[in-house]
Amino acid sequence: MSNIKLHYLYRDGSNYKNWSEAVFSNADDLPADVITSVLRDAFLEDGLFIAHQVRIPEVFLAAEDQLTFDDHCFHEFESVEATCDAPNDACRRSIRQFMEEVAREAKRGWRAFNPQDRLLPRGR
Amino acid sequence: MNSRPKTPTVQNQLAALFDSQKLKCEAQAVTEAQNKPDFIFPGSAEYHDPRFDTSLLIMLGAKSTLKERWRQILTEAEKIPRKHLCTLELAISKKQTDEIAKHAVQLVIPEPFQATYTAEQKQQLWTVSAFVEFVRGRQRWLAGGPFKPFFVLSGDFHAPQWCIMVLYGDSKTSSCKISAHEARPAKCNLARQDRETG
Repeated sequence: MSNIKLHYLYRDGSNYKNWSEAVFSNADDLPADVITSVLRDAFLEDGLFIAHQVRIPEVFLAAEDQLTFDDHCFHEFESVEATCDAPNDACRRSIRQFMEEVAREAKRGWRAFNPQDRLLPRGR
Repeated sequence: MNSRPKTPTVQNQLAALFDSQKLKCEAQAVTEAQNKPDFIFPGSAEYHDPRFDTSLLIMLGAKSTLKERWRQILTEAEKIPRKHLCTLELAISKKQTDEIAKHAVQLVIPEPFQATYTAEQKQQLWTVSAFVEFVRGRQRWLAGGPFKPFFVLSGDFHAPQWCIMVLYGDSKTSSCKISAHEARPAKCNLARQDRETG
């Protein structure tokens, strides 16, 4: 049985990128094209989503004072693929559970925020 | 801050250009350690082929602005020591263009944008057309096309020596070094020879 690797990234307004991936178990043996279709339907145009809403690590380029005008709050879906890599999702979800969570959050609405509020330490 | 990212138009527009020019390239191909440069020419299969001549690989970053994040491209393709970076950035300081050149990055800037740079800086810049011709030349050679030498000047105008790489349709790369004061006339002569033999 293969697991599913989700490839996603943060891309700022100038096209600088930071890539990441998360591996989910796939006991149901869902095919990658079905997963891709479901996720793309749930994400915004261009595959944009809010990473913390679906509990995967944020990979912003900026840290604290280095925020630029090009920075924003969205991450971007890239692809999924079958993999033999061990699952590494911190919430120990299967890909089906992750898809359900993405669909649920999409229904609730992707909540944009100012990354400055999130990245800068409180009180500054 | 932007509330919503825009479609990465620089990368998309360059992809459309390379496609229209029938240049073989791959966007966001994986190189090492999950790095994914914006463009690799000819592609990831050649990049990872240990038999492929690495001097024929080209990497291009496509970024609207430079900021301090341009250094990101330095680690995106270990096999390609000299990177190319296309940007729409206007009039950056000479200190920054020198810093970029020092890291073996060739800036590629659309010709109209180059008007915002000093004459001295412009000597270090390539236009998008020049880059396309550079890639086309290498890919023509790779495709085993007709005998047509083409010439690539590498290095920067402030270096004591320039390196000329000469690629032929039926042989491997040869190179020689020439001094900086020879570089400009050599470039003109080579360009003329290129046209005549083409």
